[in-house]
Amino acid sequence: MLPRASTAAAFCGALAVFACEGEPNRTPADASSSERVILDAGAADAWAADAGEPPSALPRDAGEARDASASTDATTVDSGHAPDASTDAGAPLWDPRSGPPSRKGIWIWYFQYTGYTARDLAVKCRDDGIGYVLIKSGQDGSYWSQRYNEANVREFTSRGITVFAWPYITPNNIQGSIDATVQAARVPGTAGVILDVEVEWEGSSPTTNAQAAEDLCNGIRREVPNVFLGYTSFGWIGYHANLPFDAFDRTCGDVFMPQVYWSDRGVTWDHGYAQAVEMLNAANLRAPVWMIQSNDATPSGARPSSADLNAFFERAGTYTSLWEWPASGHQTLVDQLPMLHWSNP
Amino acid sequence: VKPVWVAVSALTATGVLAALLAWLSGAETQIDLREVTDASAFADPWDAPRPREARTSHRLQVSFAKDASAPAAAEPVLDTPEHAVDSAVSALAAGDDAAFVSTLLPRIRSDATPEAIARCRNRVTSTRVLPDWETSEVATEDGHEVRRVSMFGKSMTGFHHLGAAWLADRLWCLPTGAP
Repeated sequence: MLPRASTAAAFCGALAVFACEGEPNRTPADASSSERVILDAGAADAWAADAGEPPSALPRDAGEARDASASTDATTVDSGHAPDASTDAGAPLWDPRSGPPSRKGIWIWYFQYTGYTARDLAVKCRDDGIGYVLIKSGQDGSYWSQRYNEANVREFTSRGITVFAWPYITPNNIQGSIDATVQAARVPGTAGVILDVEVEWEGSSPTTNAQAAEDLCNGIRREVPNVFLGYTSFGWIGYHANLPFDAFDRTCGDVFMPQVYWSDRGVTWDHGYAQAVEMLNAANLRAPVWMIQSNDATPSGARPSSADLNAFFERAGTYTSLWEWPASGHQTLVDQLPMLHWSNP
Repeated sequence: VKPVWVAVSALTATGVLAALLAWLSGAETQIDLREVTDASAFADPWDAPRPREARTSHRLQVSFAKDASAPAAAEPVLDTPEHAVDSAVSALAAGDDAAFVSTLLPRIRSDATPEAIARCRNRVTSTRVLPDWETSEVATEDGHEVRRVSMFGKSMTGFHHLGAAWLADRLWCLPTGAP
């Protein structure tokens, strides 16, 4: 494992770049960055969304910094479950262990929610420029074979889109959750599994559910030794001292995807990003970090602008993803997707 | 005088035409008002109503339309978990806080502060509420039936069948555990 000081240094480097390079490349979105709390419609962005180009010189993101350090850690990453390499698009399918993706990703709850079939959604993702998707595969001990299956996964992989499974898991049924997750991990074409572990894991102390976390992750790895296994949870981990991040980091730490949902929280994207990085740095976790942002409305009902979403994308780096593919009927949100900067430089 | 006359004529003709169109498609006019109401809260100019969307806003109306059997906000119908959710959403949209609170288990009603309800209202009017009923789970707790469902893709909310009513055990319209 890489010395903690090196990891911290990598983060400090990312923060330093954040601090030093942000100014010369200020986008319209940055203009409001001094305001911590997003104001509602009365403080609407004065610029048209997507009016500005992203900064030309991107700061090095936390994820890349952590990946660089993780790549030296031979004990942490398995050889990998190679995703289906054949694509109709002709381009090779991105493998999460091969390096950065060429395009960013999006989270999908379930197809009916989006109003699209798997095929139509895959076509839309491809046309919008989305590089990878994370599809919910189950809840605790339930594996959703009718939703997360080979046929649906192939709709995406055949179009050059990498697919991860994500089950939502609580500590209530560890063996059942292992079994269900293993089923999802074994679906052909699956590039990896990201466990969504949230409020249910917060106990009275950091160790309350630590053993359950280790049992869960180790149990999955025992059944699928080469699985790319990561986890996602709250974005500002400093507020969740009693969630067993250390245990997940040790045993499910191929990647950590913090939910930096700045719009849900009602803060500006850059404040949300900076505070998340600060808290990650303090926690000294080992896993590479791939941040997630959200297109959810703010507490006052305002939607995040395309400019702000793109600014976060640029700052948080190549592995970033968006929660979530909108519900059917939210046409403005669906129309916003192709305006986001999925492609990585 | 002539330019003024031309301008007045044009404005009058436009107004008459608009009124005629509105009369011919009364439903569409209502739909557009709904959309404007929703969109007026958006901070993003890109998200503001646009002519193209106004013409096609019937899709939004169809999508947001409640089940024909959905209860009115004033009288929550709690005979099924689905109706309980519809009632809660309707109550929030109608500004009927008391009706909304009545859809919750008594032990969590104190969580429904005015601030929390305001956030709930903003959320349900800016986000579609489409619980994943297909994967909901049924259990028995303390002698009564509970149906657990994911409201927004993550944590489950239990609807407890107590007496004739199904009541929610969480303030499901707020993000759980965040930030």
